[in-house]
Amino acid sequence: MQPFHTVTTARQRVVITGLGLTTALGRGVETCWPKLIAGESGIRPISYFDCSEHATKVSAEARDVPCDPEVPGMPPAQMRRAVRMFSSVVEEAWRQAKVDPATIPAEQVGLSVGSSTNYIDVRLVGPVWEMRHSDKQVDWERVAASGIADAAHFYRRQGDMMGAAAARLLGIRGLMLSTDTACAASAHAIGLAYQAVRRGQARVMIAGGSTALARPLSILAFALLGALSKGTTAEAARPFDKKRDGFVMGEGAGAVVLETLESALERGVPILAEVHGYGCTTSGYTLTDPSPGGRWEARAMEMALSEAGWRPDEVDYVAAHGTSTQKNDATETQSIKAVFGEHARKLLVSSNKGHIGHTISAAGVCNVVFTVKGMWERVAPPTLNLRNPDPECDLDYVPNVGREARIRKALCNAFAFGGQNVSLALRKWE
Amino acid sequence: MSIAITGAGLITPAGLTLAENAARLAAGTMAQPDTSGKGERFARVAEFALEPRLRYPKNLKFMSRAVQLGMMAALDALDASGMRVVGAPTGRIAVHTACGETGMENEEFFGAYALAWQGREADFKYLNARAAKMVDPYFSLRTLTNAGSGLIAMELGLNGPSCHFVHGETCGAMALEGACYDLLDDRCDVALCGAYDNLATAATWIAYDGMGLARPKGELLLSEGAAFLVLERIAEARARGAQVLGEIVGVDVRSGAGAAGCEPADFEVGRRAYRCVTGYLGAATALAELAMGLERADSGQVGVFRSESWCGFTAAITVKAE
Repeated sequence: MQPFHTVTTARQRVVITGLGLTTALGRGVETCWPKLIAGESGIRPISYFDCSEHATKVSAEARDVPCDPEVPGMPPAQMRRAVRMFSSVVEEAWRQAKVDPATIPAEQVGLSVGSSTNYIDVRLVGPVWEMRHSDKQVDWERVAASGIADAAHFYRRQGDMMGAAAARLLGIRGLMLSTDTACAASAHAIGLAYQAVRRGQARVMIAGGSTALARPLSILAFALLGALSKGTTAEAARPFDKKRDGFVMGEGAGAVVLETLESALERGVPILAEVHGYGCTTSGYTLTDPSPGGRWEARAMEMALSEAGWRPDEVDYVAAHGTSTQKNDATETQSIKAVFGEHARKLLVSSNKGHIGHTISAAGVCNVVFTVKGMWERVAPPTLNLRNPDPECDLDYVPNVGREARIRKALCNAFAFGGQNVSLALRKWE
Repeated sequence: MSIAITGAGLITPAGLTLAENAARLAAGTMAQPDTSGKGERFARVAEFALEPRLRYPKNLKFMSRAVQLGMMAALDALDASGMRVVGAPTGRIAVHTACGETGMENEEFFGAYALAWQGREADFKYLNARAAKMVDPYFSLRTLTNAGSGLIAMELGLNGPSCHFVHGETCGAMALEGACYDLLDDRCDVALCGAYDNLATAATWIAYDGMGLARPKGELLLSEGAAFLVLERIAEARARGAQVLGEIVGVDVRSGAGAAGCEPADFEVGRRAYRCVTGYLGAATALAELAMGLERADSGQVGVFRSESWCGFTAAITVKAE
């Protein structure tokens, strides 16, 4: 524990040395990235349940999820789908960062996880429904006698399982943070990890998030809010397009390894990017709508820029939240204009939701991973299915085809149902 | 620089206010389990009236039971602090919240199940939004885990840094840590932070019963409650003449049991006794114990409030009473 009276204003520089990703485009950063740039979509008809009676017909399901991530002391049955996905991406990021437990004490390595813990074990839904009284209350005695819930069920629903699995997998004994702010969760996780490394609470943090909500109850809940597209094809998600009608539920997980610049240089590992700033606000408006005029979304971006010490006209690219809902995309455009002024017209702005759907608590980390790849590959990722210009969305969204671009400084946005707004400032390491 | 606690709110089965909780704890009075024909499975908070206290009472329909408890404790903490947020720079007030066994519950969906499945097989294909909408258009918002922080921000008109943590019993400490560092890093001037939980539900009981932990098979009396604190930099709190209840010395959450921090526990206020009185609150426990400790501590005492999650994480909050 670092007593608060010892906290100083000295700040470490924080760099990214590892990336991991699983999305509907596949497993692994090097699998997803070429497909993203090629304009491939992972959106397909829902396979998990019969959606013939539903208005929602498509999702972006991850198709290569490990069944047994071989986490020490943790049976696979105890790990829900999102936990298994997260275990695979932290391993990938860890390998790339080449962190050697022999040289970095486990207590100096921490974890910061963004999750969606709204979880009902769908295997129990039918039996619990059957074991109700006529007043729709659960029949306790029958449930207890049935033995339907076991240890695996108990652990699958625990909010800290994602962190626990990753900690056991990598032997981590340091700082632990776990956020659940819906669509901003992994962006929060990265922002908090960045702050922890920056102020010296940890030498290395692995941060990211995972989501597996392309399931009947989650789709029901979001459809009820009118947030999901009613499209039936891979073009259902069309960020910033005039005909956009909602987002497509996506599954995915991502992780980044953050460490002090000093640590990365000492270890001699390749540095991918530097995190320069983190902005975070709450809209305090409604649970589902952006703030009027995008005021508090803009403020999050301004906070990130201010912490980075950048002028707005130094930024080359914004990885937009860009969900493909009418309100989000128009309001995010307004907020970008408010922050960048005339420079907004020169910015490249894009959303990956047309490729991988909306990965909710993994959306922020997906933006970060693709932005870092774009910096190194000198390509701005495209916004898929953008064919009908919307007067309210009039920036350069890199429509449909990736574009050669030199991205040195970028912002990555994530805005949540619930009102939390996050923006991260990244700079290419040169 | 250090962090002052200038307001605390606590609602548990032992009382609707911090003072009531302290009195029940001092008297050693047990919480009254719900015995209405279903066995002593839960300790519940007594009836409370939240709606008259709300600036936007229409938002009550978006609040789960846990969030309602959180809102009560947050409003109490703010009242106790003497802080007036109306007219204050709203972007400089942070809101950090936490919860554990909260979010989706089967019962929330029962209305939808009824319309979809009554008289036919329980197949997910019938569970469409049309069926659910005829029951309650708001239930999906009540299942948003981070709705509490959003609703508190809406109620009080706050726009500062905000996060919501979900990490079993240790998440209250995470919220506290986030709030403290926002103050130390000058990202806000005031931070409202707290945890709320409602374990007195069917889905939670089923899970704990499956492990043999919950009553009547096990020893845990599943409970509900919330605790909130108002935090400020100590110099600014004193400058505005606020009553400083305590000073937060440090917060830490670590992977691995026993890894988190220091041991002195001069005023741990009988953790076991506290749990007997309030039941098992999960996420809210560490902050609730902290609030109780402050209420009962002598000036200058230093205490450590620890919590451990089922998955092996340990949190410690060190506090010095004023």
